[in-house]
Amino acid sequence: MAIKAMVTGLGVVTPIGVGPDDFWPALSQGVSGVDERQGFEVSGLKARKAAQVLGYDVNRFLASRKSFLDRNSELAFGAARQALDSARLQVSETNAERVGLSTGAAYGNLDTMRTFYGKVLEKGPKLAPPILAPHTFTNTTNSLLAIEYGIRGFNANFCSGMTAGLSAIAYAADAIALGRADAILAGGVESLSEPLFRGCAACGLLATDGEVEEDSRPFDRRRNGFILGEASGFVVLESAKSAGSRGVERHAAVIGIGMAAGIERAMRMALTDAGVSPQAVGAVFASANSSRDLDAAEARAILAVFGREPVPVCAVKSMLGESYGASSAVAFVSAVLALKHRLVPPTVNYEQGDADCELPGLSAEPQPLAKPVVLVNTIDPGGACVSVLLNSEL
Amino acid sequence: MTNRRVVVTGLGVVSCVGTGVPDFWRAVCEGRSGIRPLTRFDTSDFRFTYGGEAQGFQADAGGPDLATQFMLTAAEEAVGGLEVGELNPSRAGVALATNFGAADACEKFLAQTVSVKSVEPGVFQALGMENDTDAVRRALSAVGGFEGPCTLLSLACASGNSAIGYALDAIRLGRADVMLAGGYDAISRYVWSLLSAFGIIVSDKEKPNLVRPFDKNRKGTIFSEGAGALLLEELGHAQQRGARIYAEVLGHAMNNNAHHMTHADPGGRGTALVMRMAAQDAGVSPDEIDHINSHATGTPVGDPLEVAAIKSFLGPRASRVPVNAIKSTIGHLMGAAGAAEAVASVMSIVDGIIPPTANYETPDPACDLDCVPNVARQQRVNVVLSNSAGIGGANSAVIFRRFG
Repeated sequence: MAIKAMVTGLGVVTPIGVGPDDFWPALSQGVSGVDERQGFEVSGLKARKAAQVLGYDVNRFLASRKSFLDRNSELAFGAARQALDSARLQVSETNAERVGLSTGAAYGNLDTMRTFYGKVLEKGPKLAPPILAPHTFTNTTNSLLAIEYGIRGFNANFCSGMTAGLSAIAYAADAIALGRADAILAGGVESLSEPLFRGCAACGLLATDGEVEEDSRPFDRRRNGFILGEASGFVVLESAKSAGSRGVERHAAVIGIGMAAGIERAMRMALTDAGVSPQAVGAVFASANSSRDLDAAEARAILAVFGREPVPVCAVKSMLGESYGASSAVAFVSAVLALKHRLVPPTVNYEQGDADCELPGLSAEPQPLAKPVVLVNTIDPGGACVSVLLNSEL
Repeated sequence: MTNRRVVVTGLGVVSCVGTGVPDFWRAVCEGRSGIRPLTRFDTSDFRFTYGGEAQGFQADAGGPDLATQFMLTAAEEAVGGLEVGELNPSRAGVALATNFGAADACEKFLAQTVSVKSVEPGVFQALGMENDTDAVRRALSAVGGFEGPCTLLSLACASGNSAIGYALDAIRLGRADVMLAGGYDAISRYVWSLLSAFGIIVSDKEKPNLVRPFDKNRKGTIFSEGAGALLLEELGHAQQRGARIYAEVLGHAMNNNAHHMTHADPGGRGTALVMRMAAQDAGVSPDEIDHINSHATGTPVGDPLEVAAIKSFLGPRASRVPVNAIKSTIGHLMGAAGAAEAVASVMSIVDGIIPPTANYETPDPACDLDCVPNVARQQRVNVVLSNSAGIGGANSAVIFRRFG
């Protein structure tokens, strides 16, 4: 079993907690971040709820105030700062070229794009606001993080939909294994904005009142769409040598990566990559987000890979909603925390099984984590899937 | 950590000087600028009205977003040499990169969300960049399926190289044997309004309206559009199926200046570093690099910084290494620039021709490299490095070597 990279730092900004110390108790006890949507009103939409990060102050995490920050970048700064601090990683002139950054976001700064284009439509392109322009790129948040911390080494940015966050973490682990960097700040972020909410609603992706009240119900028979969320999750990945020489705590190791069109193939690739059998896996952190088809497809894939063995399965999106580029990065952080605490978080609202998603290891209650290996899944509706295997027995 | 070698076995391109590698390459070698007055949308309220719209490209009005169509066209050309049944679908993947993705959908979506009008589902659907990867994957299924790793990156105008680098790593790491790598972007009113806000575009008053990299009188860049695609393949896999091998992909690197969102990076430090990182990844010394396809966009500030970076990277040899800037002909293809320039870099190895930096008139002491002024040069190229850079300080570089 080859170790690709060590996880030495963790950070999260989520609707149920900012920082692992707040986040884990809420996650493991099944606290839901789903509530009535705040901040903007759109008439004519059936979906009312969201999983928002409320009362968040980015200035806690910044060395100095910024003249302008998109919310996407604000959310990223919180989790990134926590991850660097918890890894005790100082970026300086001596190591700046050997520290990397790998980020993911699906829609990123969509709200600023809309604000910018609103001004263009209103006043004409000659009066477009130059201060907003640099904040409208899909890699804006990545650049702002690099500048804030002085990270000059390896750099990547993914916008591969719901897989963006875990894609960023997986590529960072590969980059460490290939020797491209000694340590990489990696993660995903997504802010909830009015345009994103309206887009998701228009496509019928969001949960609505049905047989039961609108909520996130992964794998449950009554699921009818996802709750849009926002979050960020970052980790510091580091070579074993670098972590050892710095003497920092190693929370877990990335030991397997699978990427494919189709989650079953991605999970099998991750297991083969790590050289471990399905029986060695203690829990699966599912991508399931309460969508009819995606949840069913993932359940079938888990059954195909793990057989009828009741491998514990959890869907943290039951509490956090679907936060696109952030969700799989937050699931990765959740998995590391689960390994630390030897506990699988509950899948809240899971009450009624569905013939399409029969998973014996699924529970609305926390479950003990019996084995030190967990698999983290992410599925994009477009077909791209990523599966990452973590091991905490180092 | 890995001995798997990766080669280029297919190329494809859409650009303002032609669609398809033969037309593109001929125009680039002749130094014919594809910059024209824009026709796609009404430019009467814009400050800058010249650009490089794709030529020789038949848009399908009922098809996907124009940007996606560019990528599909380039991808189909790049896989043209594949026979049905030669691929194991689970061992073939797609890595794309873009700055703006589906530009038309983006513009429509933003306009719809600015107003209180309802959002069209198809427009939001097309906005998701990952859907372009899926569209390419499905379009290529005719040759046997690309069911392995598929992803999409974005590093502003440094995007194109990032897809190539990612694909290279995926094959090196054994995740795939074949990867389609590509970059794409299209001009739209939204994209144009955004790019116009940076003060880096040649004024409409300049006649003729041209990009003049490295020239003392360079006045800025001009944006264009298109796509570039490279089929990357593990060497043994390519040899086994008897594929034509254009070149070997030796290495890549991506980084960020970590300096400022829009200000120049002092001394071109980040660009020098990305070239060093790429050379290290490629296992070559800077002394072995005999041609650089530069990023140079024709801006007064940017070009000398890249020149300084190249001097720092190559050392005293810098003045003897041909460093061209084909944005003088093809304009700045945004997220597709790196991919299109990679196609040109590979063709330089194949044909032994280094295309010129066109429109070059007046030497600038701050850009005193051999920029291959105006006339293509016949010269054997063994190892070429292609540079890209983007807003926010992103840099990327790839290195190709003659094979065999």
